[in-house]
Amino acid sequence: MDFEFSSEQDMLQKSFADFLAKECSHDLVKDWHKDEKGYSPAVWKKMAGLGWMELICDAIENNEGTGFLDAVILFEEMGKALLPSPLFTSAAMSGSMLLQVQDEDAVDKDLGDITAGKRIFTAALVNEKGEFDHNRSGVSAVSDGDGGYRLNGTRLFVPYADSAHYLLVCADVENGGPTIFKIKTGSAGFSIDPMETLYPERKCVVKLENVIMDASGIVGKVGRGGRYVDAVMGPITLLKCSEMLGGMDFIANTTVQYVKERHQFGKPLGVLQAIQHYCADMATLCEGARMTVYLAGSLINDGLDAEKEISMAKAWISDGYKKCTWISHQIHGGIGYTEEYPVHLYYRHAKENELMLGDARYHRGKVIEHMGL
Amino acid sequence: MKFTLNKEQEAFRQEVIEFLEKELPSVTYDLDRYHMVGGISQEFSRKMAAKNWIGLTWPKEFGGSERGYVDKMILSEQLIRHRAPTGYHFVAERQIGPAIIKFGQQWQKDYFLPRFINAEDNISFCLLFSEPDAGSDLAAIKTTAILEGDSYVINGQKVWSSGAHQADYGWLLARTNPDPSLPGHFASSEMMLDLKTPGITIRPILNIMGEHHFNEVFFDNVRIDKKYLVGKENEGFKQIVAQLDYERAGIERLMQNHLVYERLKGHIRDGDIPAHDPGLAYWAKDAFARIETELNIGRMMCYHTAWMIDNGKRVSSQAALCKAFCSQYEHRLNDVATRVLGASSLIMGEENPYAPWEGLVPQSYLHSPSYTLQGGAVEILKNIVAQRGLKLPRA
Ligand SMILES: Cc1cc2nc3c(=O)[nH]c(=O)nc-3n(C[C@H](O)[C@H](O)[C@H](O)COP(=O)(O)OP(=O)(O)OC[C@H]3O[C@@H](n4cnc5c(N)ncnc54)[C@H](O)[C@@H]3O)c2cc1C
Repeated sequence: MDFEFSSEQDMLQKSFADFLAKECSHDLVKDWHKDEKGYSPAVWKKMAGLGWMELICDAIENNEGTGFLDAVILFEEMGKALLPSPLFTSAAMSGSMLLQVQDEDAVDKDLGDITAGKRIFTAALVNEKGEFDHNRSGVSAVSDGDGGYRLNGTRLFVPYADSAHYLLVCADVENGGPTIFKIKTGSAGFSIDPMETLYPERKCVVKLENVIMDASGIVGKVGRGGRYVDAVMGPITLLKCSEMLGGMDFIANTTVQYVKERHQFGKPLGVLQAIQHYCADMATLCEGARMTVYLAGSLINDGLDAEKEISMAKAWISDGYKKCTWISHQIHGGIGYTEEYPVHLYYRHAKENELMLGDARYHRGKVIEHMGL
Repeated sequence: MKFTLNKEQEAFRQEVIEFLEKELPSVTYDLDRYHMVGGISQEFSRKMAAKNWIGLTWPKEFGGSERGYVDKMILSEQLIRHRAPTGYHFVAERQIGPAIIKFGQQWQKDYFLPRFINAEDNISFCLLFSEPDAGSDLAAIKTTAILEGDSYVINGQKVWSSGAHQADYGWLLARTNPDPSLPGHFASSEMMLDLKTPGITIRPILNIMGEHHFNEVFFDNVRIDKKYLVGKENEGFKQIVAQLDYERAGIERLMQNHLVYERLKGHIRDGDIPAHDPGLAYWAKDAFARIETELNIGRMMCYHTAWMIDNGKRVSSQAALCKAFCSQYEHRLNDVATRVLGASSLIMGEENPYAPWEGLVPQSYLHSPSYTLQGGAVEILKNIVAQRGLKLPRA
């Protein structure tokens, strides 16, 4: 057992943190949220230059058996800074889906493009009701009799679809089952509308109306799509948890800092026991979050089954991050309720991600399932 | 970073499991069946001693194995999971031995440590810290131990002393400087005493279950040789604070009720939930998944704390956070068990045919309020997390 980052991991973390401190202030985050693209292509290029997309794909592939925690650390730092970028959808979600498919030249090339940051991929996993539905897909793929397919359906919450070059979607092939298609964005019949949600990181509604695909658009094998997505859900969810852990850690630390500085009744707020106990509660929620994320991450690193632990992590963090942001708002008083102050960014981030990839209740159900109860 | 056991640790875990599976069935002991760590058996303690598993973390010069606290955690976890009777040596090993090693005089080391390590006769200790007017505020103790010639003369009263009526020795915190203008932090000392010394009166206090577990202990001109002083005079408070971290970091704070957890899991797995109440079936699983998550988190917190001790890090805040979390988990576990079982969970009595799980649940539920008090109340632990861990200013 070792509860500390190795010196390499420390260095890695520091390099992520330094980069984000330099490139990503809260003011910039808010600007990017309002920006036409929703992120900074210039920063994206630098991230590619630093090898971040490659690091993530390597981590997920995990051939050496040690790399997964590197991606955990990266997303933790992303969550502290809240840098808006297609990193999660392109490298983590799409990358991991493509990695399910072995020995296909086309896939190798796509992965190369993703890791180089040259192409942005995005994954469309949510239906019109807001459900992750890849096993009973709301997108239909009807054979046109010539080896091609006509795709129809609507996807919600597609991250950065308007900047992506390709979209991965799991469609139900008639008589074939769930199948992953790689669609070039902007193909005929493909339309995109930006979506406004509680957390303003870019996402879109994507409509597919008679989008014509030939067989080369199929990723892997027909009928395997559901399995591919199932296989990546765990690691993806854990990386999302890592991002949430970062947000949680940041908001807890910022709040503790605030109560040391803000004075009322002639004393820092932090001398008050009600405030101290709020802070101890946040510390406990964060420590619990670290325990679950790193435990699951360690199991993945060891090549062991971590599905139950991943669900425990998402269950704990979905609630815990949210509670930390409630406490933070309460402790910050009026100033925290202003647009200018960053607390609401985390308040929003916590709520949105609580409900993404399954909320606490959903994952508690998974815990029970994995225990065979 | 690696949150999983390495090869040697896994091998040790296996060794412990094999030992317990082999030895436990042959040991006879009077198991206080509701207290997970309460079973007492000198026979079993001696078997552990033969494996060198008492004093696992102690230095070799005192007969220990100089292993880390993570190894000790691995051992403790299995002892609890198997409900092994460790009560005979428990306090001596967890608290008294380490305090003697750290602060004790040479004769105390020579006399007591081998006896502890070998689970010999007369090694049971009770802790005499709390007083009627000094609970959380331990520095407010009034019991005095005044040096007269070669003896300390002790007067005063202690309370909540667990097991004092069965123990051989008491481990006492008393004021050695009676000057009331001096805060107790700088005026108190630790010492041990034979509980058969004249002038000591031990009276039972019945706990909420009507059990005789703790006591009040009165001292009326009790005279003990000054050689029983532990550490330095007037530094007892500082010494105790250091000991408390070890007390708090134990996994028994998380798993005393592990039998309730096991029974609850079996109950849900076997579908023993009335079909006419689908809401209960759903809720029970949801609540159990919460319990499972908290158990896993608490377990990792315990290992984390042990690892910090092994790596020479300051643990008081971490140990406090860990204990607060774990003791609250146990309370919730017992509550969930009552609600899953419904009204029958209220029925007491091992023999009662209407009582599910041999009446385990109401017993555990009645024990629960004590977990969040003893060894530092949750509020006090949160103060420690805030002030020592997060460096918030003191009022
Ligand atoms: C089952 C059991 C076994 C025990 N065994 C022993 C033993 O063997 N030896 C021994 O010496 N003692 C023992 N104790 C005593 C135990 O350590 C004390 O009960 C504990 O320290 C609390 O002290 P108190 O009971 O005086 O409560 P108080 O100190 O009066 O506390 C009452 C409440 O006030 C809160 N409070 C107090 N101070 C503060 C503060 N500064 N900030 C916020 N809240 C505060 C507490 O958290 C608690 O909720 C045992 C207790 C129990 C329940």
